[in-house]
Amino acid sequence: MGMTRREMLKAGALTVLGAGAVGGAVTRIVGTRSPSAGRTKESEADKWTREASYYERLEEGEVRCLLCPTACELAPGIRGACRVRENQGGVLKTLVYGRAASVDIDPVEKKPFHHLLPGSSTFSFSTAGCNMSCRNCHNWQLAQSPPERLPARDLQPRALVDAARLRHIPIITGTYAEPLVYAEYLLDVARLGNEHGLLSTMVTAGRVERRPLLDLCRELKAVKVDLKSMSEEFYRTNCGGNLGPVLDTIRTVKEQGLWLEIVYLVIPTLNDGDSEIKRASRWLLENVGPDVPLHFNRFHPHHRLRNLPPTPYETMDRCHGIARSEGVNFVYTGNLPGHPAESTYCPGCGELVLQRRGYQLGENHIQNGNCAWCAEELPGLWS
Amino acid sequence: MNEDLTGAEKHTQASRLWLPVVIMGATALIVQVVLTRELLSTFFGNELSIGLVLAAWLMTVAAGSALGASRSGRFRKPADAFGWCQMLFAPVALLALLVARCVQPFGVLPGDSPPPGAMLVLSLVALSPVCFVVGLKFVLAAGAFSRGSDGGSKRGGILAKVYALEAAGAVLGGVTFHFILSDGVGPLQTLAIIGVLNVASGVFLVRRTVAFGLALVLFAGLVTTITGGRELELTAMRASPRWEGVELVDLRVSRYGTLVVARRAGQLGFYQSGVLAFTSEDEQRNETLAHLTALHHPRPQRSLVIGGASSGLPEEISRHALAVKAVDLDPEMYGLARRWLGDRPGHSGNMGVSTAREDSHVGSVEVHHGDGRLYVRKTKKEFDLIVLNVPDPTTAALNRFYTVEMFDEASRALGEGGILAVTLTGSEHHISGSVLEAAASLYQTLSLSFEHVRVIPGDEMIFMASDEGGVLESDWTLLVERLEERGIESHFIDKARIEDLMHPFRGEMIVNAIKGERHASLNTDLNPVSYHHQTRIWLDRLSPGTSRSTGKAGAALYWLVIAGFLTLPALVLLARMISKRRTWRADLGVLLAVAALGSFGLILELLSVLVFQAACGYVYHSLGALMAAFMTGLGLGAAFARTRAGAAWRHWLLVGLLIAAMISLLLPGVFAVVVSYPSLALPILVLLLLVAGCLVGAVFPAAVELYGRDECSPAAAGGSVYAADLAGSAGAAVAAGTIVVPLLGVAGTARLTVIVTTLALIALLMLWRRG
Ligand code: SF4
Repeated sequence: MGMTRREMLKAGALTVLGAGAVGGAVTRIVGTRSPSAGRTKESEADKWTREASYYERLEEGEVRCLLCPTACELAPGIRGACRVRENQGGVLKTLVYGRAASVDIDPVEKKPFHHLLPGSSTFSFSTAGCNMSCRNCHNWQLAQSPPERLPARDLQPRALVDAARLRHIPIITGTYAEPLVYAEYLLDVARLGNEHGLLSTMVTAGRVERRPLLDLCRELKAVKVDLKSMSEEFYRTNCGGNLGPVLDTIRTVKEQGLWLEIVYLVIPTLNDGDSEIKRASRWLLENVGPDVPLHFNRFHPHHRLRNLPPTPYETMDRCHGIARSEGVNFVYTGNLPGHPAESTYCPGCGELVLQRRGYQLGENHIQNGNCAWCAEELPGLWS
Repeated sequence: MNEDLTGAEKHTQASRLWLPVVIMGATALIVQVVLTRELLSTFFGNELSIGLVLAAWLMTVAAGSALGASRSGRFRKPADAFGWCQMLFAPVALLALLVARCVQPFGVLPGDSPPPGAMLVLSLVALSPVCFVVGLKFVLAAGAFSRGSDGGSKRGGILAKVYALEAAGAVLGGVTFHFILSDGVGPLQTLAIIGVLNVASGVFLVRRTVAFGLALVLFAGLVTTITGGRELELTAMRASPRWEGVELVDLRVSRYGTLVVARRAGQLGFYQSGVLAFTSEDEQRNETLAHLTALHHPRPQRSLVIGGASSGLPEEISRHALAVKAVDLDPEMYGLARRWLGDRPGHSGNMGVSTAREDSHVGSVEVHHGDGRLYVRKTKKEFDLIVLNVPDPTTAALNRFYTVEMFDEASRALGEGGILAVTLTGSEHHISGSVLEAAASLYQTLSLSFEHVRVIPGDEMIFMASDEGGVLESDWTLLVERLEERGIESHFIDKARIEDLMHPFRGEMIVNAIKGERHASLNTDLNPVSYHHQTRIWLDRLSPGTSRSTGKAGAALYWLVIAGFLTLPALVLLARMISKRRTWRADLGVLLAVAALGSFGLILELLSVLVFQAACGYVYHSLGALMAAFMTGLGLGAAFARTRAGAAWRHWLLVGLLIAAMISLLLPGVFAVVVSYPSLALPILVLLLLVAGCLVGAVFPAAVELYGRDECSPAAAGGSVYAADLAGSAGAAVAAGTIVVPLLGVAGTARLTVIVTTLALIALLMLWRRG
């Protein structure tokens, strides 16, 4: 009626464009509200705030974080991508020193470490934060939230180590979210743990710079690294990260002489192709040797990938077969109790040396780190 | 306008239009249902996605209608144009289906669901052409009737005729879909069948050589599609990126959705409406849930599993020497599972050497097809264990399994020391934010019906509830003893795993956090909050922290912004159309009143469904009756208005709003009666919806009569009023479904409707006074 065709088209286009923008825009507006609106009072938060160890000062009060390859450059008052490091007046601070948002006791097989004190328990802890954003993350609430939004326990390094000792737990593990983003906390826990004869370990996705990693390697005894895929594309689209630094971490941990195990979570259709599994196996063989255990874990629908099925058993067998035929000596399947590949077999004679079923141990034919059948030395920290 | 037709020709033209308009109403409804289901399969539907798709549909129909209204003068032969639109509707609808099926939103990985913005855009892209045609057809039908009428016919009467015929068609379409097409006919075939009707009615109106030629081509394509059957449906599905990397091996259509079996590496996945229901390799989930719950009972004899009869869970529970009854809604899914999995569902036998299990005690499983909640309601003191095996309460329809009323019924169905087990997606190591709120709400809701509640944290949290002290407090070593006593061999549940899951230190932070949220909102039938929690969790997964910082007021604002946004374009479009006229104030009042009545109608339908569920425990079989009652009311109201030529239309509008406000005011009382006397629920609600439908239907012609006065044609007036009606419904679809009902409950939403209709009444009076 009173409207020209041009106006009509404009109105239509605006409708469609605006409709697309509205979800994202409102989400953003709401999502960037000050995190201090969370559960923790400011004064309480102070006790968990420490100057970060890895950063450099830039001009005009800005800082650059040197902990991970994201290399956030932060103006005063701004948080890093991991949500737990903040530029406070030109000083980079970690906000999670002693701020344990999750604490539990797990079987060491659950981490999984299969060549590290089998049958032991580990005192597991985590703060908020992660420098990646995997769509299948099982700990997404921990990993993707700023610390203020999570209920937390004050568990300073000494209290944490005491808690483990009190329960006679020989291992402490930084795990669940990403321990690298609470590196200062983990380092102090590990130092103190060492003083008391506890083994400190971490379970990490491995995106870290070399210097902090070397510092951690000096204090930790074992590291489990998640190798999520051999594809940069997968790291970018599914994890919000990149592959190169992860491979560097795996190499460095091995070079530094720590006990290393690798987990590859097999996600149907996304990272389970033969060629990719072959590439992962070959890369490991060439860079860290045949004795680093490789765990293929079964995926279960979770977080945002809830409409993918769990990994088919056949796929698990296929991955196991490929890695074995490539020459990896210790290939395990995870999240699949009762599968024969949960157990350890001697690479020398092929005999079963340590039987596992889920977290339960069965026959044990390891004597002083050697195969009881053929005396082959078995790599790992067995006692 | 119609001076070039003789009286006889006018009569013929008008009589020729009746059937095509009825077909228009019927096919539009069926296309809406089919495309909505398809889009929800892409979005793995939660309540928000249902609201967004419905809103996108209503909004684009409104836009088509508004555009048609603004251009109505240009159609010299509206009957012909209507006929062409009818013919083209079939290919456009099929195209929409393919778009909905094949377009993978940018950046969304397989298995992931798109964010709300992408959902809306994808819905708009898929639905726009088809909805646009639907909206336009309404205006063209009005134009055609107006040309076919004698000069004395009032335009309100003309529009009432179109509205009544369309409503009659919608009732017919609903009934046809519900009783014939929804069972066994795939989406492609359904659209092709109704496409044949559309093309036939189109060519019947146009009657030109070129139209006959086009019709022949279209018929050939549609008949090929119909005869292509399941194979063609499967082929079309395989083209979708959604199914990349899997082999689609079977397909069934049940009234509850399209069922698909997909194979990958020997594993069979069973999908209902695009959502993964279970696979052939779910031992871990089944064993964990079955054994952890059954081991808590000292001597379980009889168990009830609600939902997922073919998932393998009932068989797993039966290993505790139990007689298990499994109640499942969809016999088609059960048949499909039997066909592919044999009689050991959930056990693929692919697990390597240790799969074979020799159990000495295996009980029986009896499957009963029907509504789980209804079954529980009818049962008294019968079971030792009830396991709720339904998905998280992501929709209002699923919410009813998690309410106080449902838990009370379950409590009555349990024998002494009986246990109810409910699951909720959670986390093994940490809980906070929206997930904590959802878990705490479930905990508090269960605590209202049961004396004792125990939580086992995990990626799937298990909540167990019982009235008997001591049953749930069992130490993990006792469970291990019972496992051994019962001779149950399990891959996933053994001594080490039980210790890991049940150790007192284990998950302590999580359990304490859940118990600590004492003021968590309770989920009831009439105050359904759980599906709102699930929507918030889903938002947090997409963009962490989105929902938590909003709080209640923020959440309300969030959804109202979206609802307003959806409604506004259509209203702005209309406002701009009327702004140049003398009568703009009066017209604006009319449109506001119609939009308010549109939202009143939609909210009433929504509340009636919820209340019916609350009263009777189920809704599927009566949903059609409830919807048909409202549509019939619309038709009757419009038809009645047609007979009242020369009525005081202004009064109709005012009185209509007043009655709507009064009905809304009475709703809480009516609903209380319905809940107290379930046997009267259906007749009362059908009557209520019939009356409300009559009201909305009768006001429509009045609004058309008043709109634009002498300045616009019947088609233009009809299109504009229709657009306002739909825009009001679109806003209500999002606002009520996602936030208002969870936030205010059924009674609060009814009160809000009183406010909305009263405000519209006041606005109408003010605008008319000044206009
Ligand atoms: S650790 Fe955090 S702040 Fe530092 S660079 Fe990485 S993401 Fe940025």
